[in-house]
Formats: sequence, structure tokens, C-alpha cells
Amino acid sequence: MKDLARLALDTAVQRGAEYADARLVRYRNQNIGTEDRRVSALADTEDVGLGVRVIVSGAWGFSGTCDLTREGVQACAAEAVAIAKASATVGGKEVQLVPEPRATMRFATPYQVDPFTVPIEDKVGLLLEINDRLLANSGVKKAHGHMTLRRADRTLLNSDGSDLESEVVTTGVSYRATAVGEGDARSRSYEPPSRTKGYENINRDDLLANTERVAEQAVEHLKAAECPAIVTDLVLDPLHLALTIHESVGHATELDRVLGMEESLAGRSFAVPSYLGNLKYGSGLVTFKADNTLPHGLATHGFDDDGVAGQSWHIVEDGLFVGYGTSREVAGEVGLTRSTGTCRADHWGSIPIVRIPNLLLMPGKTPLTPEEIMADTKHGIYIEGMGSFSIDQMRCNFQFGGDAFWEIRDGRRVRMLKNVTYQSMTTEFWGSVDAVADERFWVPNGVLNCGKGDPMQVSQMTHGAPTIRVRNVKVGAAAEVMRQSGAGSEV
Amino acid sequence: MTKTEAQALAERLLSCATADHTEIGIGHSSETAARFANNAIIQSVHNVDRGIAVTSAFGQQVGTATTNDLSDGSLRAVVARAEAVAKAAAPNTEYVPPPGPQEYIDTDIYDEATASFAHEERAAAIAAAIQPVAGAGLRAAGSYTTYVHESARANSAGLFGHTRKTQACFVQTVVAENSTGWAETNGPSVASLDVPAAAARALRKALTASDPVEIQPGAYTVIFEPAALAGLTSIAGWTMDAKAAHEGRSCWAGKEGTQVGVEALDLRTVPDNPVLPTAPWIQQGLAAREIAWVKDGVLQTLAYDRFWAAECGHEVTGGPGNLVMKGTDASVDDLIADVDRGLLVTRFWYIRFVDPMRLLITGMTRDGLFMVENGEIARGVKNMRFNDSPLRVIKSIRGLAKPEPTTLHGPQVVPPVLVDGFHFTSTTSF
Repeated sequence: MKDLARLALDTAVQRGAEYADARLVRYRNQNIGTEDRRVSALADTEDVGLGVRVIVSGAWGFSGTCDLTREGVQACAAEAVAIAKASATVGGKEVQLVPEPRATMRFATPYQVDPFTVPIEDKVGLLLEINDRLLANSGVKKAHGHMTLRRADRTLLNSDGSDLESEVVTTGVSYRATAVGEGDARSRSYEPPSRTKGYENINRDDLLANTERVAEQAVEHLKAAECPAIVTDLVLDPLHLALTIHESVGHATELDRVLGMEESLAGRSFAVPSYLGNLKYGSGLVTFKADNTLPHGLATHGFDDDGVAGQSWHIVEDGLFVGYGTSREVAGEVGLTRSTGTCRADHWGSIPIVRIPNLLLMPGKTPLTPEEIMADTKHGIYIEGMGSFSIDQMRCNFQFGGDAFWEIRDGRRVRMLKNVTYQSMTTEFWGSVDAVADERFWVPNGVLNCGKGDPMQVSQMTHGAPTIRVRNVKVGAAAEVMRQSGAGSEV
Repeated sequence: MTKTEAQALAERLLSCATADHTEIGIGHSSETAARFANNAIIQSVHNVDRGIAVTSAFGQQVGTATTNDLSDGSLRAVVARAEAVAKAAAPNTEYVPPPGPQEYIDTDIYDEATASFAHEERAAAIAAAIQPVAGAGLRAAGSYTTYVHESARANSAGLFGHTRKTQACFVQTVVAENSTGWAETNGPSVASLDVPAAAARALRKALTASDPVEIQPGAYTVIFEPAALAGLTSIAGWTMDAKAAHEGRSCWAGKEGTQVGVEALDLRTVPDNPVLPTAPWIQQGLAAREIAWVKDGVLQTLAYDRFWAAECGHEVTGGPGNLVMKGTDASVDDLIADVDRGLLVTRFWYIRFVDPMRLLITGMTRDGLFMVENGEIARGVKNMRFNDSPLRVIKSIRGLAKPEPTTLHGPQVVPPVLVDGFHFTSTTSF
């Protein structure tokens, strides 16, 4: 198959490409869904194709094809060149890539058990056993389970002479119990971190050990008190923080977005280059490190689709804004001589774009446990898991929910709440962090469904964090609207 | 892929099948898009893909396998893989065997000029859209996309269907010093788009919104332009599953047959809509038909799949493939003229659920929020976050204008509407 990628590359260069790369990718996925005691979805999918990207007269052209004949591949490369030539007629600044050393590399996700060798019966059986256990609680009226298994085998050749191959395996599982009654329905979920690992990431014992707790908390959630509209302290667990980090730091520091290239769809960012080195993004306890070499990270792919090796660097260091995620195209715009290596495509048929790296909120440097943070909180709300999330297109005003919420009084969780949302502005929020648990409590959660681009692409990345506390955050405004308007009584 | 080719491919796949029931889905798509920003084309892509999905059922054991490799070996393998997966699966107790031959509504709108739209023509149209923006010292961003979709359905009960359509979409955002403006144009062909008008509308909005003022959050009379309303109606449409409602897990529980909106509210799925048609089929290849979800403000039906429809003795509706809402001959300016003090919303961004049981959602305004005073647009306003429910909105509609197509939140043809008491809860910095 590498011969076809070589043929595409040679064709593009012969037709006038100043730069070209050819990326051949084969995907194999399994998605399994269960609802109560039935299999609601079971799909085994495969997909293979080639994407050719070129620069001609300073403009990009990209073409993708699933026709993997010699003629199909040559036509695809010729199409990419023709597209670039047409784009160049509109003018504008010419694309300039920062240099990247020629490399030959093969990267493979380290794993113990190939998830595609595990019998379907075992996977389905585990999800149905989980559902059975959830439904054993009489208050639980609905149980859902889901398992995602992915493999991507990639060959990337470029006209700089790089010859790169990767095999990335991703596994994840989640389940949800829903309690129904008195005109309401409330859920509780369990979603251990998805990772680039083998089937060993699907920890049967851990999944089953949490079913009783999840079912009980779903029922408790149904009976929980409404969230008041107040300003209070938040204690946030690592599984919750993944989305908050993703939206308010990850997307805000993608350099293509900052430069206006995502304006019409995903938007821009407040974090402009003039803020580098002088914007206080968070309190002194807040350090965000990007690390695409993180073992089992969802964005740990060995190299990106620019052919740049995985790296680690700081985005925010001791509260100060210091870095971006880049591609070879945009890195030079902030004076970088090498891209940070975060340019990825979600499919062979998609053009690579800047994506959020594995972005990690680093643990506190002094010993501190989540229990100690809780004990030190007089009034507040503790949030676990991911829920509602929304942020403006400049990545300033955000509102987040969660999966489960507890009121904190005098250092203790006293009762569950529902309909908790918190709303803040990005730098104000991270500037109010006054407690960060230490490395013993750091968890590498992540997301599998990050949307960006036009046409839309979906990508994955890890967001590790420990438990933190944030002082004086506005909560409950959303539910307050419904109470004031009386709309809730309609249901 | 012609209808004849698709039929031959389906027959080859079915000839390999040994399951009790086998269903085939065949897709072939071509998407071409030029994306521009900072007054230049920054990405330009063409992508041709195809796919085969085989669903096999042994009793109620059901599994699906897909591939995009059409070689003989791959075709045999994908059927074998679907059957192996199905045999390994526990039962899907809601599986319903596939339907027999259907009579389909003709929803095809295919335009050869759109399918073969030249890269140079696309670039020229973008250059023309950018030119007045650059001339004004501002920046344009957006995309010009064309699609060709062909798909076929077949099964072991003798069903076969084929559809082919083209679609075109142009969107533009204009970025000024402290404001932005946005507009879109959609249709089944490039000839049906009015790119210059959309580009001019985006520019006009950006200029009108300049130097926006911050206002206090609270309840406002609001005019939603079609793209803004579509963000709310799409959320309503996605949540209309009948089973979830009947099991008490949805905001629509107990609402069938009741007044859910103002009397003027009429919301349908129209498969052969001339601007944004759907596929001619719904679940498992069953023929699609027009569904009135809400008529005269009364919820006529929720969305029933084949299993739940059989359980309830109800017609199968499928989900809302598109949403078409009735309006009037009035213009958005007529609605503005009716407002003493209120807001005009161009579109929303990042709409998400807050409380699905009350259909409480949140989102941000974007690319053109305006204060309306004494029947006229008075000034730009800094963007705000809303928290409110489409269930409240459809009961608070005071005026409707002429429907327009929008694809920002899925295919919809909806009017600008005037609504009282929409809740904004916080502001932002721009």
C-alpha cells in the first residue's frame, strides 16, 4: 500500500506541487450499544482511503479518494494540484511551512490485548451484565451501555522525504442509569477515561464494582434539591474538568483559530499573540502542559499529519499564558521555528487542521488530597463527571453542568443537588483556583468527540487533571430562569 | 453510481447472505469545499467516498458491518463479518424484520452543473464575495460547499430504492474592528444560491453592529432570524422520541394531542421539499411521507420507530429528516416594525441541553445581535448567553414572517419569528 502513497506523492510533485504529502489510512472500529437487556447497536466497520495535500503557488489543495487503483491515486493527486491552482487565483498570503527534519519512524500504541481479538460475546456480555446490575435497583428504570474500539493504521509520506507509519488503538466504555418518577428523570453515569490502549483499558472488575453506586446515585439524583442561584466555591473532580479544560483552554490556544482561520465556524479566541508571556490566564497554581508523548494519551500518535514528531510544551505556566498548539503553516506567525505538532485530520478524506493536543492541568506541587480540599471548604458545590457545556466563540463566557452534584457545608458533602450549572469568564475562572490536589490524584480523562473544521472533523485528546477548588463562581442561573418564568411547571 | 449499478451491487451482496434477514445500504458521496478566511482561500478540498453497510439478522440477533472496498473479496467478507457479528450478539428484542418493496416519493433533485462545479468558478465566486469586504478594509471568512449524494437501500424481502441529489451552501462571516456579521444561502444547486446577496448581508450586519453596547441580561422581546430559530427547533425535533416520552424520560411526556404552541404553529417534515429534501425512506427503507408534528399549535405525533409504533398501534413516523415551519408573507423588517424595544438575533452558537426534562437549553448569540427600538434597528449589542426552553418559545410567538432555508442546525425551512420574554442570563466581552 505504501507504493500507492509514493505514487500519489510523485504525481503531485510532477504536476507542480511545491510541497506534497500523501496519507493512506485504514480504520477498523467496533461500536456496541446496549439498552436495558437488549443489544441496541452492534457495528463492525472498516474504511480505507488516501488523502493528498499539496501547496501550489502558495495555496493549499487537498483531495481524498477511496479508489486505491494506480489510476485512482494518480487522479486524486492531480485533483489536489488543480484545486490548489484554482485557490491561488484568489490571492492572499502564501502558505509557508516552518521546517521539520526528514524522519523515518514507526509508532505503535503499546497494548497488551488487541481489542479486535476479544470475542464480541464477551463485550456484549459485559455491557449486559452491567445493565442487569443497574436495573437490579428498583428505582432505576433505564440502563444504557456503550463501548468504542478503534484502530487507525496510517502511512504518511511527504516531499520533505519523511516516511512515517503509525498504528493507534483507542478503547473506551461508559454506562448510564436513569431513575424515573414524579414527572422527572435523572441519570448518573460512569465513564472511565478512554485511552490509546488495548482491551486491558476495559476494566471489567472496576466497571462492575461501580454499578451499585451509580444506580444508587441515579435514584438519589431524582430526589435531589434544585440548585440555588448563588455565588459559591466549586470543588471539581478530574473526570468533570476534562471538558472545562478542553473548551476554555484547549480551543482558546489553537493558533489557527487565534489567527482567524476558523472564524466562520468554530470562531476565534481572546488569547491573541500579544498576550503571550504577559496574560494572567490563571492563578499561580495553574499550569497547563501540552504533551503529545503522554503514554496512552488520546492524541499520542507518534507524529502529526504534518509529519512533526510528538512533543511536550507549556500552554500556561504558573498562571502565565506562554504557548499555543500549532501546525507547520501557522507556527511561524508567532515566531516559532518548529511546529508543536498538533495538526491532525480525522479521516483520510479530511485536510489536517490544528487540533487540541493532550492538554494537562498539572498537579499541585505540595501534598494535598481531594478530602483535604473538601474539608477546607465551608460552603460550596462538588461536581463529578461531564454534562452540559457551552462557550462563546471567543472562548470567554462559558457555562458548564456536570453528571452529579453535591452541596458542601462545613467541609462535608451533605446532599445531592440537580440542575447545577456554573457560569464564568475563562481567565476569571482559572484565576480563582486556590487549591490543586497533588499528583497522586491526577487522572488522565479525555474526549473522543471534539468537533472542529468545515467540513466538520471529529478528533480525540486527553485532558488530565487532579481535583481542584475554584472560589466564588456564579451557579444556578439557568435553573433560576425556569423557576422565575414558571416554565418548569408545564412539564 | 447509477441505479442499475447499485441494484447489481445489492444483488451481489444479497447472493452471499445466509441470514434470516439481510439489509443493504449503499452510499456514494462527493463533497467539494473551498474555505476562506482573512480574505483568501485557506483550505480547498475534494473528497470522494463510498460505503456499504450490511445488517444481518438471525432471529433477533442482529449485527452490522461496513466497508468502502468494493472488490469481490471484500464484498463477500463484509457479509460474512455482519453475519459473524450477528451470531455473536445477544438478542435485540426490539428488532423488527425489514419491510418488503415500497413505493417512494420522488425526492431527487440532481443538478449536473452543481455536480461538476469547476474549482475555478468556485474560486471566482469567493473572490467576488470577498472583494467588497476587503475594499471596506474588513476581513471575510466562510465556505462554499457542494455535495453529490447517491444512496440505495435493498433487503432480502425484495425492497430496493435509489436516490441521488445535489446540494450547495455558501456562508460568509465579515469581521470588522469590534463586530461581525454572518449570512448563508442554501439550495439544491449552485444556480439556486444568491452568493452576492448573502455576502452583502453579512457585510451590512457587520457594519451595523459596529461599536456594540453592553446591555443588562434579562427577559427581552426577540426576533429570531431563521438560522437562530433553527437552533431551537432542531433541539425540539431531536427530542421527540415517543418511547422516551412514554417511559417518562422526556419533556414531551403526556403532550401528544395537546396545545404546545400558538395556533399559528405548524411544523412538519416534508421529504420532497423543493429546497432541502430528505431521503425518500426512513428506518430500514420504509417509505418516507410528510409528517405534521405540530398543526394549529397542537402536537399531532411524536417520533415512532417501527418497534414502538407496533407496540402502540401507531403509524411509523421516523425522525424529523428535515423541519419545515409555516410562516406568512411578512418580511423580517415587518416584524422589526412591530417591536418597541427588543433584540434581533442573527444566529446562536454552542447550544446545549441544561435540563432535558424541561427542554431547558443554553447558548450564545453570535455574528449580529441588535437592539430594536421604535420599530427600527438602533445599534449593535454585545453578545449574550441565553437559558430558556423552546417549549416556552413556541408558546410565546407573536409574529411570523416568510420561511427561508437554513442548514446551520440541519436542513430546515423556517421563518423569522417574533417572541416575547426570551431569557438572557449573562453577557460577554465582545
